[in-house]
Amino acid sequence: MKHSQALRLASIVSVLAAFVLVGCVDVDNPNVSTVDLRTLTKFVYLNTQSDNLRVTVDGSVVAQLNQGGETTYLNLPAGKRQIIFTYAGGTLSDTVTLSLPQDRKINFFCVYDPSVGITTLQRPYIEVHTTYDGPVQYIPEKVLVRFINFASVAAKFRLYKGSDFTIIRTSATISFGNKTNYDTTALGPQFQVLSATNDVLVDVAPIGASDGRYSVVLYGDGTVYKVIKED
Amino acid sequence: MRKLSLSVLLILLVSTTLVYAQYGKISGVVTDQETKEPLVGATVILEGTAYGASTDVDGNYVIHNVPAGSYNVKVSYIGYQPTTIVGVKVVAGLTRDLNVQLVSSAVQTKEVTVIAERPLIEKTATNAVRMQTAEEIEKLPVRGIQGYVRLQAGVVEQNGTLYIRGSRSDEVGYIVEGANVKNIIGSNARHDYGGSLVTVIPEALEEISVQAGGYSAEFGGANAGIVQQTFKTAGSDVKITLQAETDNFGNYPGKKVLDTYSYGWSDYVATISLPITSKLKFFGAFQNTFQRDRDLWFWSGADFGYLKDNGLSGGKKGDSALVKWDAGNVPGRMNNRYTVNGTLSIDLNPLQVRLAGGFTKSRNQNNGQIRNLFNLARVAVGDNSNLLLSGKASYFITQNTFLEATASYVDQRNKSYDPLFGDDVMKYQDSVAAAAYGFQFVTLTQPPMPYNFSGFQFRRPGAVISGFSKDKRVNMSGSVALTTQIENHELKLGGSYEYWTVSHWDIDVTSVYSSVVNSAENINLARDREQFAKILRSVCTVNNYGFDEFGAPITSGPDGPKNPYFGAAYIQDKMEFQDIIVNAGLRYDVMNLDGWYFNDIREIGYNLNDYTLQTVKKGGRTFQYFSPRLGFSFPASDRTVFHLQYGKFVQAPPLYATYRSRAMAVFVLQGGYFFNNPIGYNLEPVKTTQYEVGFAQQLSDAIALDITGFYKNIHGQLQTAYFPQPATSPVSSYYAYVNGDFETVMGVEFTLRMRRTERVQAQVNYTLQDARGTNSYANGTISLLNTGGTPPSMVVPLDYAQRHRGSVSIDYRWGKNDGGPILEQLGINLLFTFNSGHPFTRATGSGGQQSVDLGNLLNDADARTRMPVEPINSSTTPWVYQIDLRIDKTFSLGFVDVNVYAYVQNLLNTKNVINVYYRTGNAYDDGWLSDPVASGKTVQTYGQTYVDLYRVINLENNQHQFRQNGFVNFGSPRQIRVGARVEL
Repeated sequence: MKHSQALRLASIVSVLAAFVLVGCVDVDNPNVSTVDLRTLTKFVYLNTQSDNLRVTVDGSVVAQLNQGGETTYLNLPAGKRQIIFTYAGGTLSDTVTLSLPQDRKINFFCVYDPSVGITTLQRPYIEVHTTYDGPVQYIPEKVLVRFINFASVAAKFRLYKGSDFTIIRTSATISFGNKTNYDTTALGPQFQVLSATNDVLVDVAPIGASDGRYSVVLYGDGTVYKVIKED
Repeated sequence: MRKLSLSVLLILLVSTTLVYAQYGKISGVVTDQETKEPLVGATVILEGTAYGASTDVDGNYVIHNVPAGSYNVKVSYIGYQPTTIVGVKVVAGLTRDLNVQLVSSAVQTKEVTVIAERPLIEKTATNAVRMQTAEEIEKLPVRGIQGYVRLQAGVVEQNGTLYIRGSRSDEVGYIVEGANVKNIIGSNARHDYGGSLVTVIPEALEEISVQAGGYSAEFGGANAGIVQQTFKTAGSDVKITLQAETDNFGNYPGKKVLDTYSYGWSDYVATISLPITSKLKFFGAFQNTFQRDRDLWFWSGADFGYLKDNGLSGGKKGDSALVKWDAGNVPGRMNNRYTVNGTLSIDLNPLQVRLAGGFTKSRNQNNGQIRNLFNLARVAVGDNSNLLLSGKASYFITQNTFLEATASYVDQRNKSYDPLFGDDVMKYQDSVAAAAYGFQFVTLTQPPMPYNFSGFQFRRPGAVISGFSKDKRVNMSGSVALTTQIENHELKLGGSYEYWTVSHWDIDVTSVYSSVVNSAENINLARDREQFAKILRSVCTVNNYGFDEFGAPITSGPDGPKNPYFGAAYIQDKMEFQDIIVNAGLRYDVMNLDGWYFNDIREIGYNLNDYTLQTVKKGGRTFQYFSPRLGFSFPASDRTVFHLQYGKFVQAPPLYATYRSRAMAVFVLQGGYFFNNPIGYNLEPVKTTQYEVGFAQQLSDAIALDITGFYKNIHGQLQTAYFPQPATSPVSSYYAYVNGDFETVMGVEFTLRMRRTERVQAQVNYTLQDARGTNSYANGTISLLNTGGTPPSMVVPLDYAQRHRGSVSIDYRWGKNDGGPILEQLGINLLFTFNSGHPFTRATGSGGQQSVDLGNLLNDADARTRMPVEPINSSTTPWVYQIDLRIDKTFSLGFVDVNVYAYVQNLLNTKNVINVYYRTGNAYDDGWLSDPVASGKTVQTYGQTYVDLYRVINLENNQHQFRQNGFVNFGSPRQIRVGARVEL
């Protein structure tokens, strides 16, 4: 075969081979793989009557908190977890086994329940926030605010526009362990906490300089609060 | 890919496929025209090839192993003028009789040229072989391999599936370039067994033949018939053709031109015939075909305006959507396909090598349901590829003895998936992943609930409607054969071996994600590979072989690929005497189906803890058979031939029936569920005995007819059976496929061919047949069993037994320098096809648990509530008629020929009834709205909108029929395609 003819044949074969190489349907990709699903968990220690708190998850210490302290959102494996809350210098502890759902943010509020007494750390109050496009939607350039009451007194929550202090909403009376829905407003709102009889428990205070969800948590005797940013 | 390349190389070097003959031979005697004395030592050659022979002492010659095609045969002898016979047609497997009389140089001073005509009757054929050549194919007003095959006598097409002589579809063999490309696996789709794994471009075909049984001992693996396709071989001149055609004249969407819709058809073909040297020839063809709607239905449009969700299907009440679609095309049903076919012939006399290949890649959408109108983004997409590589080398030991070695490699793959998430099935039902596309789920794992518009459900955007499955089927095969001509005996001794590697994976995509995230325990287990695999088996019912539970390929172990193999050896002697031709052969088959076998179901030892089978054997049994084949041809005269044939045939059942994962087996064996497609254990091959007697008569120089009668018995076809188990049994009562059905078919095939005379060429095919069996399909009686019945032992007409079927093709054509400037090289081809209806059983019963948008349609998929009101299959659907037309004209522009053409399928736009409703026996009325007792309450609940929706969705567009039974009631509407072909 002459050189030019061989070249011509080689060209044809190369084009065809290239076509085939590109073409076969790839069926070798795995379709399922093991998954390590995670949960973002925040521990908030709001017991004003007790010592500092140590949190252990499946045997590993994940948080050491002083009164009023909070962790960042800890990236923990989803699924069944054993969580031990140890306080009073390590002499007292409470153990819970919980299912942590994946792709969620969970807030553990460790609080003092005045009806029980100061020697027992109450089972934590657990909040679950979905992070997917679910019922509570994160809205850019907006602030979402809710009120949670862990204080020994019932209270009302009042939200103001940051710009002109007009009242956005005043909640009904919220008793211990209950919360309002999120209110959506512009950046930088202010809030005030009133007693059930409209006494001022917490004077006007700012909240939400940046967008996202916030929880204003009242605890102790009703005069202390904590603002937690959730997004 | 490297593995692939190595495998291919290995096969080509070492292996020996079942590569069947795509070669014929030419024989005859050379004599002196005046004296009639034989000429000894005359030379006969095929011009442009190395094929040739010399005449013996009696003037006889034989040229063996000639690839199917058209040749110029030149005969020369000292003292005589050379004679060339132009256009001698060689047909695969047959002998072309070519006797030549030479004229003395003293009498004739110029070389003689004679134009050959294809004989009207094939004297050497001992069975019925129907063949169409490239020249015939290109004139027909149909396009595509199935379109050509269905025209042949003995072939029935029903709901898109081909049947030959009353056998089931999986009993039809497909051979391309000598390689077995039959899909021996099938699928779980309704009755979708068999078919070809390889795509062939019509313009790449040299010929296509259909042997409706009765083939010689070298053929196996197909009991009913064989569709054999041979690619073109390059000629002695460079030739390039470019062809383009479309059906789109601005009539999309929903518009008509000439009262006809467009289906978005466009087709481009390029071929090249390249003689690189006199001994090295390449032919290649490339095709791209696009269809916006790949199934042609009579399809009505509708505009209901904005309808409000009534919330009854769980969606938000009051949501509204514009319920409107165009007529003509079903949305979301496109197909785009690229194909190359080619051959390379290398002449290293005495060694002849022929390499052939084909490759196809296609993508399609699989919608067929209008309820997906708002969710087309998640309609399943299918990717397919198929690759064929085949090689053949033949070596002439002597002029009359040659050795052939062949090898082939077929790789077919497909994948069906959700276009949003492709291979990642974990994301199919993941609300977070779906949110990225703007779809809002109801909960973390609950997709949007459907709209309910007056009782009709439409999927909301984002609903999960696509599953996932993938297949890989590789067939490596080879053969060797020694052929020798000893006087009138053509002896052939050969063997073949075929080894398959079959892999499959599918899973319940709706449970993969939710099974993990909705269970705190499984969230932990999903971190561990073994534990997660167990979840995939037990909860998600993964169906895997050749892939592990996760979809990664594996090569061995209990979930390894299925490796059926088929070996054969045969000997045959074709004795060609003056007044009789005998084709006697004996075939020995050895086959292993690599299915599951056990002696006692209690041996299986399935484990419900981890969903595995502990003791069941993979592979196991090997079967051996001897199949005698005997054919006679009696050429009573030059114009009369009788042929007679007897043969036994054996083939594997469709292997899908036995190929499932261990998890699927446990799922079935534990009982408690109704399975329409159970699993077959201990399966054996299917056997057929066939008798054929035929008569071919050339009525004149231009007309011949062939009448062939046949009778055959088939036994061992798949059937469902019920195996009740005592309470003490470790397994529950179960269903399984067994070799239980049998069938008897008899019929007469009539073919009349008229050679072109006075511009007219014609062919008439007609088949009268009676096909009866215990079941039409393997799972035909599972509902009967489920309701306490026993398998049928009486034969009844089969569902696909069209008693009468035929076609009439008339081609009227003006030749070159004929008819004046307008009519010169103008051709008109008219094709008339008809068939009687097919049997069905009128029935009554309830619609079961169907939703109201299905009415009370009686369905095939779960016929437990259906009650026949007459003997099985004693009613028949109406007759079907169709006319197709093609008009073309060739313009010769210097060295370029331009052929412009138009063809119309279903010229009269006949709305043929091809299926009916079982309840009414009518294609237009399903017995729902017309029966106030049945539908009154529903109509009262949902109002007039329900009635209007029902009429257009179900009665006009057959959506309930398609959803439940997989077919529609009407044949295809008219389609007009125009195109042009340029020949350089």
